[in-house]
Amino acid sequence: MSTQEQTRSESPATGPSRSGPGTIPGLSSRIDARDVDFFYGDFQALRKINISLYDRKITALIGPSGCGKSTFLRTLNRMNDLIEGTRLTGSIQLDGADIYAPQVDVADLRRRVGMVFQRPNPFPMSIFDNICYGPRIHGLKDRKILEQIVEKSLRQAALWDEVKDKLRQSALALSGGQQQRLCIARTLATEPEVILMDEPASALDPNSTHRIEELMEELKQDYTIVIVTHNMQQAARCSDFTGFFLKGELKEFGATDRIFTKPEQRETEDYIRGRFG
Amino acid sequence: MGTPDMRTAIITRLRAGLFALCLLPILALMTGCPAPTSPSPESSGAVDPSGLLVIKGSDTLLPLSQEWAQEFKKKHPNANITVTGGGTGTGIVALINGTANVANASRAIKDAEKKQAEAKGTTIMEVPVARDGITIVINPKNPIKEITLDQLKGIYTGQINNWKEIGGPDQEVVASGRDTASGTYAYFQEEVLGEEEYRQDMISNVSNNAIAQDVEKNVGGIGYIGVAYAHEFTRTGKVKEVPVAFKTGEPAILPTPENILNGKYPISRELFNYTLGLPQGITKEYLDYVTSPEGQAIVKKQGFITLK
Amino acid sequence: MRSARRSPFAKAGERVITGWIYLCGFLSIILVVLIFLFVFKEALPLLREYPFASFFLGTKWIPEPARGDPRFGLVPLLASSLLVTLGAIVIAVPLGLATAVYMSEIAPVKVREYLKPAVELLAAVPSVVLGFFGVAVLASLLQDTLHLPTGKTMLAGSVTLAFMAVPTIATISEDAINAVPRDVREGSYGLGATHWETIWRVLLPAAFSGIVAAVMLGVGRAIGETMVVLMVTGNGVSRALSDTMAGDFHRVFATYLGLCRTITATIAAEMGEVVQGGEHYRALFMLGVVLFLITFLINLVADFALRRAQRT
Ligand SMILES: Nc1ncnc2c1ncn2[C@@H]1O[C@H](COP(=O)(O)OP(=O)(O)OP(=O)(O)O)[C@@H](O)[C@H]1O
Ligand SMILES: [Mg+2]
Repeated sequence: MSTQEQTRSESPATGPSRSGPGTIPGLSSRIDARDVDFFYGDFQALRKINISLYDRKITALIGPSGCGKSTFLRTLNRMNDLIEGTRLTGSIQLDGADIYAPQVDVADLRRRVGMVFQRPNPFPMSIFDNICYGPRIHGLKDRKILEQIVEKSLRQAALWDEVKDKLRQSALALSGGQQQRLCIARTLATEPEVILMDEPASALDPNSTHRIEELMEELKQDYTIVIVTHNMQQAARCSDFTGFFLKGELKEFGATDRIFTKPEQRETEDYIRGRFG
Repeated sequence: MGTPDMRTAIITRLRAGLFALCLLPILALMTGCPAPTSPSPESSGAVDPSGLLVIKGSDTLLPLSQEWAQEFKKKHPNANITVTGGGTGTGIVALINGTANVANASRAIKDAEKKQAEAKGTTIMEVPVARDGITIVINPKNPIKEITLDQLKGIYTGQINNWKEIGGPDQEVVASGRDTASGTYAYFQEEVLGEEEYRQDMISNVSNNAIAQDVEKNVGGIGYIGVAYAHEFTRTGKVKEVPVAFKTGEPAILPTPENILNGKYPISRELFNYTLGLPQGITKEYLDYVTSPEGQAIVKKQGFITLK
Repeated sequence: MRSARRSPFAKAGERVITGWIYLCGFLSIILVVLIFLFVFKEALPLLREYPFASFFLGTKWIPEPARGDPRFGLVPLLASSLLVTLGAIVIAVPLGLATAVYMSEIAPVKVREYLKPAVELLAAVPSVVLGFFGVAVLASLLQDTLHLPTGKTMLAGSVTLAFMAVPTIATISEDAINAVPRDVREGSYGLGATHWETIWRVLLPAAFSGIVAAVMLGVGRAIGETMVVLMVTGNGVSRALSDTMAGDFHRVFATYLGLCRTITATIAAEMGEVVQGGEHYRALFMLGVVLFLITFLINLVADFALRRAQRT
């Protein structure tokens, strides 16, 4: 388990006084990160991150490899707790409540803030059981309902037609791209409120990628979505906000249109134009 | 597991492991196999120019036989003698199979064994080397004062299961004996059980020591041990010896040397050495030594009873 | 061209090494087949002298009777072997798995650092030493606590064998659990599973094939064990076992509190005294064949389980 140290920021989540690079006034935010520093042992992977993630919007995180996108994403559902020797300072709030507070039920937090990982990680069990995993551990037993959930989630993840006849077969027998969509379906099945996606389309062909993007558009009606991507077109196409990370810092944050047309920072422009990274 | 490849690899490795497992019972069989010792079949019992003498058999005779060999070697420095135990049956089988020159026996040879030797074209010769009694030992807490041969038979065939049936305490009988390779086992079966079968739930031990331990641990325990060995255990009070009577009404006798020699003690026997054909060469010299007054002095010293 | 740069010697060397590896592989297969054939050949003539049914259905093992014909009844030996092993599995598998889960998932790093080598060391304790322990400590303990007439019992055998199997099961299972990729664990946590749910529903199923292997190796060590069983089980047939064989099946639980006589112990105890080529000798080899078939059967079952695990 990692040691978390809280240094609480006084300012409320959407306070205009704190409209650093990561805040847009006038929108309701679900998640607010304030002055987040993160360490793997002695190595500081995140520096003073201030960002708000807005309700029913898609926020894209971009930046060169190793800049801390995944690390930041994982602080949002306390996935980094699982890594030995990590440490976080600053605060992260979900709907105004500090998720690193001692009384927080981490399992419940992770149910509410679901995650699709950078690499597909299906469980070594059948496709059906993979999807049902979340609902089952949260107490659902009714077979009929489970079957409905499986079909719905797989349809949402654009996988249903490919696997509907082999739900009982091992998920490991699927292709990499299919596995990734399965993992998306698996996350949807637990009906989280916020969905964190770490490069969900990196292993997908253009067709599936397109479908995932459609899915995000659809999910946006009900969910708050954060997506890490290396694909600039994708970020530009489907996100509402974009944050640019560089060497552990959030360099720039703003509406996607603006970031891609009038970046304020030189580094952002260089990166978007493909001049480095 | 992560990737299908990895799982396949692991499972392949497993299969190999499982395959190896098939070998286990075979190994069990092999470890149980008699290890072939040096003398070749032709040399057994016949003149042994190398001066090699392999003696094998009765555990009862083992310490006696070891001392004989030691003393004999002092006189014949060129003689090369090995003595091992394993039980009378083991020794006789080794003799027949040609892996021993002399078999130590705590019982007379069986007809079946004679026939096996004849089938291989030889005959077995017998030399009595000492006398021995069999001490019946029970737990020191058991108040039983004496026991008859019939009662012993009842106990060891399974008719008698509780000490109260023969006037003792209400305590289940736990009978300990030797394994089938033991001459004492066979002798006891012949003389005391009248050739009936032992009870199925007798604890079968591979040594006298293990019998003594059984009896020491179990209040209802009973066991049989050769007198020379039994001293060791009765002396320390771990187990106690019970006087044995031929019949009810007759006096119960303790296995003292006199009582064994004069035949008053009911369970006594001769101990033998067996050879294939007439002993020759070093074998003959060894047997001459064993039966000489000098050899018989060692018999007495070790707590066995001399021939005369 | 790459191949052009390689010297002909390197090529030949490669071929020699490949050939050698093939040879080793074939040799081990051939060896097993040969050994089995040898055992089978030594055993087969028994059936000429001794009826098949009397061997496989006989309930008495009296190889060297004082009077009359010998009896080579497999049933008491087979029943003893199966029951002892079953008891050992029932004790060892949960214990070994619990140890593995504790070592890999629950113990603090400091404890784990010392625990794992300690358990591995335990796996290397020679079985005879465990046998002494079984006779000197365990049998007396059972005798006193359960008020048995003698502590040399099937239960003592099962417990001793379980002791032998637990370290193997624990260390190999632990490796298997540890080998479950971090991604898969995170997937479970990411869906809101607790530590226990992750262990129970993901780690153990994911490590299933490794755990089967661990159990097979652990139990395999126990099945092949001879001297230890011989020492702690008394090598006799208890009345409960006789009753069970006579059809009184609910007595089967009582057999654990009495003596037993396993196939391996019988072979070990009697092999030294048989005349080569005699009936008794052949009967012991027939026991070897039976053991071989049992392990073969267990392998098949395990293989089947693994295949199934592979499919889902
Ligand atoms: N478990 C870990 N222990 C120590 N350092 C780590 C660990 N995980 C990541 N890091 C380091 O933290 C930094 C940020 O890593 P992170 O995975 O967040 O990058 P990223 O932006 O997601 O990169 P990518 O685009 O390649 O996925 C890197 O320098 C990396 O080496
Ligand atoms: Mg990343």
